[in-house]
Amino acid sequence: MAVRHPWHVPASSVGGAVATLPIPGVSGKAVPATHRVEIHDEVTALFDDLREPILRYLLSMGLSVADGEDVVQETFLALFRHLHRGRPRTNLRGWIFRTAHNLGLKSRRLNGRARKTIRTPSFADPVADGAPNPEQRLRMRQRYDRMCAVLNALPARDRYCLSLRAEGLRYREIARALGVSLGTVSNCIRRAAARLQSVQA
Amino acid sequence: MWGRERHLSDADLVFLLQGGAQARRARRCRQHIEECEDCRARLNGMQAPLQEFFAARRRILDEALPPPESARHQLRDALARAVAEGSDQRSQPAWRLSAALATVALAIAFGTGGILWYSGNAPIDGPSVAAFRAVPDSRLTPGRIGPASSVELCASDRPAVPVTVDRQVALAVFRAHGIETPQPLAYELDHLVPPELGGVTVPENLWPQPYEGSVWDANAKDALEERLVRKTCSGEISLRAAQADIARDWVAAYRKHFQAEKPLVEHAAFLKDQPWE
Repeated sequence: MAVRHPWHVPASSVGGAVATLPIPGVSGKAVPATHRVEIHDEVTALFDDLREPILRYLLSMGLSVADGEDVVQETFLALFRHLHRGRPRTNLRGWIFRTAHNLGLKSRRLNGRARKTIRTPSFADPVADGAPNPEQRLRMRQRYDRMCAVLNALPARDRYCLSLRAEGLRYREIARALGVSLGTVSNCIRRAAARLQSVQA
Repeated sequence: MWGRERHLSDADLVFLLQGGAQARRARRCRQHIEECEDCRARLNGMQAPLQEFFAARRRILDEALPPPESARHQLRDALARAVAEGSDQRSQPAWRLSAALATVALAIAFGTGGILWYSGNAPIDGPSVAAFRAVPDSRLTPGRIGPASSVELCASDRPAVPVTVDRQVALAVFRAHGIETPQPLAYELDHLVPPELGGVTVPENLWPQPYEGSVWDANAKDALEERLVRKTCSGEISLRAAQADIARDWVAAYRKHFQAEKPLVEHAAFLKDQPWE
């Protein structure tokens, strides 16, 4: 059976996935209040750990910061419903990134204004404390832009794999997040690495 | 089989970049890398541009990220509402029935594509929720150290003795932490205080640490252990301080010794110890 890649999923099915997420209480089982509070605490702890990596991933997908923040919120509310329903907690990080990825694709399609390439913030954005001086920033930015330019010639899946790897996901988590095999992830990383090597050469 | 005459494939090198899982394969590959200059150069050639890209990407994207407080409050409000709604629903069976029917109707309306997509989230075996804690339960794993001094531990001629844990002991440790059937290669059976810092192999110093489930995973702890050993052996900190730091709260110790709030990107692939098989 052919592997269904998220970016090949018809538009309706992405929306459907969100719509079919379980609604708390629908299972018919009484969920104790203490359990709901525990899930609440667990979700907020995961949010603190993963908000930044997910937001960076969504920015690199081409979403704006505001749209990315919305997707992060939706993702963690979906996580709450997932855990509340008593669904498995295994490889949760992969599940969270998968949900964010699909919601990100949906948001990008709905908003239609985002670029479908690796996106970087404007160079005129405010400089964070401790950042390199302007000259160093310029050099780093130019080099980063060159790297992005060669990566943008790759298939979207390769870029998604690389971005997820950049966020520290292991190959198994990336495979789960993108719904592909481990071998596919390995090939994507290899192609991306080869491209980046060409920039260094 | 893995002699100099047979070099590693690109796929092998890509798996080495990750570290962690694929234990037997990674072990063989690492052994080959140590002996083969060509493959070492190829690995470095692949690793260096990736590291540069990851570091530049992080710095540039981080500049665009707004502070988390507002988003955190927004989520907490939404979750509080969800928790409250959950308690309302228990006393409203009619509402539950309507919601169930609405869910079915939506699933039908969106067609099988939606249902298939969601079924793609089916669970795979892996660390259980009990192993999700980044820091072990101090009642089960308070940490135990032996009598070795820093001079003994840091001696350059100290033989590297592989630490083995009896399978029954290992399974007992897993069970104590609520894991009945541990998935091979998903955990390190980790010493809270590592042997390199004088930790001993007893259940009070062992806990199952997952490779996944949190950013504070076995890779980050391995990186901390190596940092503490280096600092101890260079005299930067005392052995006792290193032992106390890692036994009390290794996540706090990581933040302190790396001056970082979150694990560094390069530590996501760091591997010092072998996964439990």
